[in-house]
Amino acid sequence: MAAARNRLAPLDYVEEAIAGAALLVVIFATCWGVVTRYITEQPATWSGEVAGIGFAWLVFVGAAAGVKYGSHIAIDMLVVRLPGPLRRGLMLAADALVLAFLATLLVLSVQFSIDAWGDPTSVLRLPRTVTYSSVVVGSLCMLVRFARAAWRRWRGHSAAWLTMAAPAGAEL
Amino acid sequence: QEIKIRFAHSLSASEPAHQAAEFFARNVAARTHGKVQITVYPAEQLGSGKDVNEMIRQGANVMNITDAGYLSDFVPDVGVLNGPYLVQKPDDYEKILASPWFKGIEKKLDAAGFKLIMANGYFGQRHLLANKPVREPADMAGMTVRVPPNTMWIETFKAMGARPTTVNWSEVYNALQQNVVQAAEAPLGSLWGSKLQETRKYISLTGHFTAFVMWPINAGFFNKLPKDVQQILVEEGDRAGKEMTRLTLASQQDYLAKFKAAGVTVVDDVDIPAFQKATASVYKAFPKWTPGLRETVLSTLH
Amino acid sequence: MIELLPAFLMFGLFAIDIPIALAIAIGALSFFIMADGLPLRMFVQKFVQATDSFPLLAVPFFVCAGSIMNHAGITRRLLNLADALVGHMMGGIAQANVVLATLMGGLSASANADAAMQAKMLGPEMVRRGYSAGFAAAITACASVITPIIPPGIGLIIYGYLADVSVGRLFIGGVIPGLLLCASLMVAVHLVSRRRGYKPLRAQRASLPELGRATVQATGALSIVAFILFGIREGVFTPTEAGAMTVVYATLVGALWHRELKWEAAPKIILETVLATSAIMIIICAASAFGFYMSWQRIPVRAAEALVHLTRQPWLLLLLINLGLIVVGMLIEGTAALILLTPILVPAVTRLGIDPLHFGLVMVVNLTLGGITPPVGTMMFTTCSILRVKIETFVREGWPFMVAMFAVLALISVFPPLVTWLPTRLMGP
Ligand code: NA
Ligand code: NA
Repeated sequence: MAAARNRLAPLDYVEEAIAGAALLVVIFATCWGVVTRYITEQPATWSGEVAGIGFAWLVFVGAAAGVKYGSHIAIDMLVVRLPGPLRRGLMLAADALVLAFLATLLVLSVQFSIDAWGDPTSVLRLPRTVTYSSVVVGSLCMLVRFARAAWRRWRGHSAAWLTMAAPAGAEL
Repeated sequence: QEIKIRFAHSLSASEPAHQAAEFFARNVAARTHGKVQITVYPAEQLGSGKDVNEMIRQGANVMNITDAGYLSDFVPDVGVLNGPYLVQKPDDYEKILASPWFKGIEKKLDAAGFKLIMANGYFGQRHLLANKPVREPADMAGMTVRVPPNTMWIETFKAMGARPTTVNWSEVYNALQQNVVQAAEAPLGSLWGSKLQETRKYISLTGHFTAFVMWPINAGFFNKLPKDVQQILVEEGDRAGKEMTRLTLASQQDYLAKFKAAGVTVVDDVDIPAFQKATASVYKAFPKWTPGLRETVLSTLH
Repeated sequence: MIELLPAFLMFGLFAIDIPIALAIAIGALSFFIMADGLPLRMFVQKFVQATDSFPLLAVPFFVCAGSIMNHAGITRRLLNLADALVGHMMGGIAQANVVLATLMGGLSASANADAAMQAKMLGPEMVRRGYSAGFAAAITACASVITPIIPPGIGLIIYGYLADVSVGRLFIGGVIPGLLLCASLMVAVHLVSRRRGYKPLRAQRASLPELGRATVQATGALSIVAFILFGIREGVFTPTEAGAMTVVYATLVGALWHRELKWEAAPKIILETVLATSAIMIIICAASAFGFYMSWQRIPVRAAEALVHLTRQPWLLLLLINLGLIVVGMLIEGTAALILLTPILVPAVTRLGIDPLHFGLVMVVNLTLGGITPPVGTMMFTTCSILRVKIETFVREGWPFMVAMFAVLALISVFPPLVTWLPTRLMGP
């Protein structure tokens, strides 16, 4: 059991790795676009396009990492004022809805990514699937993260909702 | 039963392209006694031009104002119509549209999901706005020119000897004002609409692209419409195209007068043949095109 | 009424504590499920669309730059200087925050980029020095409203394009309103700080030698400001590109000049940037899919059309439009609202004799304020995400600032010369 967990451990950081790499790509591509305007014979015309693709990966895969770190914000005006059992019921319903949404998003993004194969980007002529597949990976990772947390709540191990897990003002 | 069609585009509501779209919507409503209702959505309200094309391809019930360059993403050969110095006059373009070659292109577009309601709307020639007159390619040597992120533009301006760079259109005013780029290019109406004459004082009438717009709608949706409605849409599309050409030609002189009044020098003695020669190589930069495509198209003019 | 179902659904989901991004996205998706002639999977295109917006790239850039400055000790040096300058005032750092946003206004065209950078850079420091996180988030978001009003500003460019008004005039017209917003916030900060007991950090003004020492120590930090200023003014890069270049420059200053930035900090900086950027952008992405639903159904357009037919009194129309825009600004992102409504409202107001230059500033200020009003406000989301503050807390702490800024909006609505005098003076009638 422990050994299996260790082998899977790198998977726990897959979102951070992908989104972090995407961030570096976005920064590098944009800077390269600026630098080549001055030092090379022709400016790099692909830089904006690559930055845009990297941005999508940064956002959608990063959002999955955000589930793990509790960095998404919510408004909980109603829930906190409800009595215990009702509150628990509402939270489980909310969990179910979120999981259903993420599963739908996963299916739709797979369909859309396949359809976008025939739609090339403007400069590099890559299939726009390179952008839209970020939602496939992102929604899949989010689904896994939310499902784990929802399962813990269902079993009553954790009463806290995922968002705002850290105290206000704390630095990550 | 009512048929609702949403007609999206990325231009501002003051441009002839939008007025032609409204003209079309009114005429279709009148001729179908209000059965077909077309609502025009200007200024990217339903997404960028490229995104709306993708919506159409995927079966959404929308129309778009687009051009051959965008549609060449799906049928490469149509892109030749966007090539530099291909035709100069709207009449020549009409001849190409009437040719068997274009009928073949329309079939291919249809198969890709795009039924063309209109293809003959003259959008105007694209000219260069810079801080000095440009009369021949040598005047453009090493000039950093803002272009849209599109292979045709990038190849054309490289061939002219310039340094094309892809600054976002929303930042183009700032980019010119603060000298990130030295020049920008667009039809007169777009240059005026974005107030770029506040940043540069020379417009050289390079006319490097002669632009026409096309109105696609999803082919599957179109084929399911009643036959009489189909006919009305196509006929009114053609009329609206001619109306747009008329409006554009009329507005060109207005714009030139406005630019001059705003203190802009209009350079009209541009050596077009020299630019034409310089950009001939661009037609070889598209490996997906049928060989000899430019010659095929030009032969339809005779 | 069925057309409003997605909006009601979204509000319902806000109340049961679903993350805001998902609540908005589920509302938008419900529209795609009900809509005729729109394939369901198009939702994905609209959800992703905002990441294709070049100006929004400024968000990760400035978040990253802010994070680097924190880890490299640059922020600390800059704040020591701020202390020396305004530390004797009530709510010193909060005042510095407002002034910085106004200065950044001369460089950056985007409120969101400014909110991201200042929240990342100044927010934690404010909390460390005894301000509540909610106060820090609120003042940072409110101050960022000033940035796009002081030229250059994206909103003014878009308005100029759509309403056929000179962008140069709009830019100059924004100077006085921008400075008024700055002044009103500084007064509000002073009053709130006095009531809260946010004491001055020092009893009296810093002595000249002290000020000199702080300035010398902050030279590296100040060189970053100079770098951005020089780069944009000299046209080396665009305001968005400036963000990416600032990341590189701040890294060089931290690693080579101050020698405080270590390799070990890199994963932390990247993770902080990824989490803050994605938390902000996923909400903006969802809001843009929701905005598509509103556009498709022409909801704001129909409301605006109904509104302009209500009266022929210019001042009453302006009041009604302002109220309407506040409601719109609560629900959709400012730029989207600007694009939708400018073509409808401008002809209506000019017919009644209102100067479109004056109206432009009223409209842009109003819709930019929409970024700090709940439930949907991008700058609010940005600072709340970065400082981990709840929306309720934000509103509780931020209302005095909002009141101050809406008062300025009322002022420039009522007195057109506040907008039109300077452009006429400098550019002729
Ligand atoms: Na600004
Ligand atoms: Na708002």
